[in-house]
Amino acid sequence: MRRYLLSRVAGGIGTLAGGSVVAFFVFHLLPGNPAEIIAGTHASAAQVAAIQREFALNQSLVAEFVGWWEHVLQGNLGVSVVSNVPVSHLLAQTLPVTLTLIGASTVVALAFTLVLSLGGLRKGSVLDRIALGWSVVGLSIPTFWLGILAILLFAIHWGWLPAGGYISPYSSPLAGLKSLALPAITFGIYMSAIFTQFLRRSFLDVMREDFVRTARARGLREWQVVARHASKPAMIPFVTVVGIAVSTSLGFAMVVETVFAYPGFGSLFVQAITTRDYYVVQAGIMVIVAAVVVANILVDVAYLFLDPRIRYGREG
Amino acid sequence: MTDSGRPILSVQDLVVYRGKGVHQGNSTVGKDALRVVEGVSFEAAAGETLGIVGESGCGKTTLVHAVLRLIPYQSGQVIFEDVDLGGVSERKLRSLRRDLQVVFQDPYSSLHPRKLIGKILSEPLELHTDLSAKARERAVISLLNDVGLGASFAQRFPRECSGGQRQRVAIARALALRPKLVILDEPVSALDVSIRAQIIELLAQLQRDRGLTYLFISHDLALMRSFCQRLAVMYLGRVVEYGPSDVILHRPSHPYTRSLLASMPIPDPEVERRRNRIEVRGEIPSIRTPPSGCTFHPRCNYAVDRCQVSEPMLEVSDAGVLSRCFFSSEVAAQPPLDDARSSDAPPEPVVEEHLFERS
Amino acid sequence: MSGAETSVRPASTALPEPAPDPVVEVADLEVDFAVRGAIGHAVRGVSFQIRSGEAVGLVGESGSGKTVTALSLLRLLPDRTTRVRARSLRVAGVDVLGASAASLARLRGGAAGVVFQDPLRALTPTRRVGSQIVEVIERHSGRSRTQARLEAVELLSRVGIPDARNRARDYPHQFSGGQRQRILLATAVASHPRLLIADEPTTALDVTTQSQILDLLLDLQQDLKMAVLLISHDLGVIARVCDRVLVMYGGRLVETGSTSDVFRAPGHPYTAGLLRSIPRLDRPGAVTSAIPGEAVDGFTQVVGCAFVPRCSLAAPVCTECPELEDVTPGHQAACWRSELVT
Repeated sequence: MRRYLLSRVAGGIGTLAGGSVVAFFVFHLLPGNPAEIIAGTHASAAQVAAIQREFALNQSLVAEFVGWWEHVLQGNLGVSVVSNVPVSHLLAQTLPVTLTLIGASTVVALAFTLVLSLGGLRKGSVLDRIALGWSVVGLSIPTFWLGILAILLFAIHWGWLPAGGYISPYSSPLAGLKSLALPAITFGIYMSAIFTQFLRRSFLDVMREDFVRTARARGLREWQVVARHASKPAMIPFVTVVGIAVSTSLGFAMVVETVFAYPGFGSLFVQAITTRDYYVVQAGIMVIVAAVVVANILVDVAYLFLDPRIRYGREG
Repeated sequence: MTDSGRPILSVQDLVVYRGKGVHQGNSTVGKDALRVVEGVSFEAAAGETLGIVGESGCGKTTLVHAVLRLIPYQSGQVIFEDVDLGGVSERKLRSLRRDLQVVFQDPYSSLHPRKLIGKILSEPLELHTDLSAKARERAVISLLNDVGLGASFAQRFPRECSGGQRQRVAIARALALRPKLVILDEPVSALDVSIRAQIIELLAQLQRDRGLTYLFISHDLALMRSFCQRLAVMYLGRVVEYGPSDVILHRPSHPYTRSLLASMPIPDPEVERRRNRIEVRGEIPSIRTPPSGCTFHPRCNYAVDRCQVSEPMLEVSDAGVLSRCFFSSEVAAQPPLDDARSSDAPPEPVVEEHLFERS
Repeated sequence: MSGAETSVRPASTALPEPAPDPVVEVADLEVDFAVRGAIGHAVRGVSFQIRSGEAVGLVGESGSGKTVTALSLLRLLPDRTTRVRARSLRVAGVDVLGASAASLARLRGGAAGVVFQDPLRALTPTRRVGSQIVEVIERHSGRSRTQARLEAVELLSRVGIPDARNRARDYPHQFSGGQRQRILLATAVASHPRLLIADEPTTALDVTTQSQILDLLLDLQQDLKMAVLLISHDLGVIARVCDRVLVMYGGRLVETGSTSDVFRAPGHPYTAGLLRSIPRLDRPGAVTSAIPGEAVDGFTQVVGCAFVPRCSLAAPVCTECPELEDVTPGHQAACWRSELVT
């Protein structure tokens, strides 16, 4: 079990290292040198040279990479070329906003999913049909369109909720939750469509297993059969899907945050790409890679709780 | 070791590892590797059926894969028609495989589901012969007839066939290139009793007509008694008894064979009531942690201290077969189990006669 | 606590009034199932009884309806795709088709335990084996959890699991195949049932392990005075365990009788053919196929006897469906020409 976790963490560190190489060399793969990219198309040669000096871009690639890592390990992610604010400050401002959004969306998604997936317990039941329809419709509606529709209805037509912007729910709970509601529901609906599809399938499969039939043959009530015998095995494949969805949701946050004018990490990253904000993009890639790594490790930890075959190893 | 004819297949001291870090021709393997086949030797004479019997974990499947060189083996020799398969090139191996075919247990997964049976049967002919399309078609129809299926089956998909019909197709495919040796890996275990008998009858017929040699892998001792001339009994990767099946299944010389025989239920309530049972203790140990000395000692009724420390060699027993047991002669001297032909008179000989004359 | 013998006995209050013999009473059982719009007939007019304490074998090839028949006894077939009808279907005194969900649940695992073929798949992989026994005891004998735990440990050691106290906390994958089947047997008999249904309980096991499990099964049967319905395709296993045998073909019962009668002098050509098709350790000689062709499935329209296409005794009369009739007292076969069967 210890070995299992250590190997997962080691793998995560490896992924991070690989990600850092990608993050670092992305700009070097573009035509021209990074200084030219940072300076923009209309810069003079003197300006480019100045930038080269300022950012220490005139060394060898390897030396530069090592130097960058040294800074990263000291917590220095560089300074935004556009706003002149340290990148670490920018992340400290935007990441909590986005994580709050993702957290709220995941809660919304899981709530929808758990209710709908119970349909998977009885194939062909009304709830099962709704779940199937939900997952198909939810996946085929583009998130940005759903977001705009939500703004039109709830913010503009009825005026119940703000159309965009962010108020911290930690300092002013009510206003904060109101500002969170539309983006979280929009995002949550999309996630729940994925989740429902998988959890429903997973339940359908597990309910056909021999051990479920055996549990029924022991005279357990149907809810006992589900709660004691079917739920954990059904969760095992589902946890993987949740892990992948949550870890890739940083990318999806870009769409949702743009629609709702949300000052989160997604907006920051989109802006950094369009303005070629070198250090911000580098740090952003690292954050996304780190999110995937952390989510994967959390999924592996969840396996430990769900699956005794991993917890105790195989015998016999 | 042989008694009849020239061996067509001869396996000598074969050792096969499985697991991480196992590569062809590599005798140094990782510490996680398992010795699944441990110095196995046997010979199959042309035209005979050699049976390999054993329970799960005995290594019989690994052995088959190694003989077919689907997986590498670490030491020993597999000699087919005087050619050492270990030393030949891939190219030569491919042409040798024409003479060396296999039928697997599961007729559901061994046939490509989206190919017509005609296509499945003509493919080996396309790859290995220069027959014209017309000649291949004729060959396919004659193959289908040989295995008791009509020409119309060429236009069917495997899913449109029953389990028994699929196994007939698998047999036809194995025979397409007129092989000399066919490995039958539990060919009837997945089939119903009535279909099982049909397939065994077919296999026996094909063997007579084509002079085939069979290597027959099974766990069904009763089937082996009637189908195999010679038998190798395997336990945890080793051959523990080897010789004529008639002798082994009548007067076993190894305690494991004896307990296997005693454990096989006989479809006759009278016989079952009268049989003396041998209790076999425990279950088959994991190949990961084989017992010391003789690997059967923890479950053996004959075991003494010596069996825990030293492993017996395969030696000729009083019954005239090879047995890997220090007490093979004592075991062979035991009265035979439940045998109507036995000279040691069973308790109710008259009833016995009556019973076995019927049917 | 005074030993395993008494501890597996449930409190009498948890069971319905001791039901009259027979334990199982089936009359004209019909089971239809729907697959992709088509209706198939898995069981057609099966009637039989099982008396208290007797071991009955149900034998047949795949698709003969033997497992469906056994599962119908506790209504364990999926409701949505199957329809079960019968003139009478009573298990341990409970009218299974008319029973409420609650009394059906009391019957399942209470008066009737079930063991399935593959012990790894029949035990829930994410639950400790001890708790899988405890839940049966709690559910059906109303014991406290502490008491149920003690009984579960005793039951585990009764079925031959060494170091039961510690091993009760292990998960199914930590046991060998034979041990898992022992554990499954323990869960099935935890409430001291009057009937144990065992569906191919040893098919997935090795020969030596099979032998041990059959011994345990017989042992438990005598100990707990249970009736056993053993479903198997292996006539050897039936011969070893059962007092009486039911032979099914094409969804119908074609022969019933004491095991010794049926095996010595079968009255149906199908049974006779099966017995001739099996190679026997004690009878050397080539395997001969005694039944040509293949079995019909539940979707085939059958007129008269379903065995006709494979039967060497078939005659014009066989286009009418034969009923079970006495060959000798207590031994019945559904064949017009059973006197010709050899």
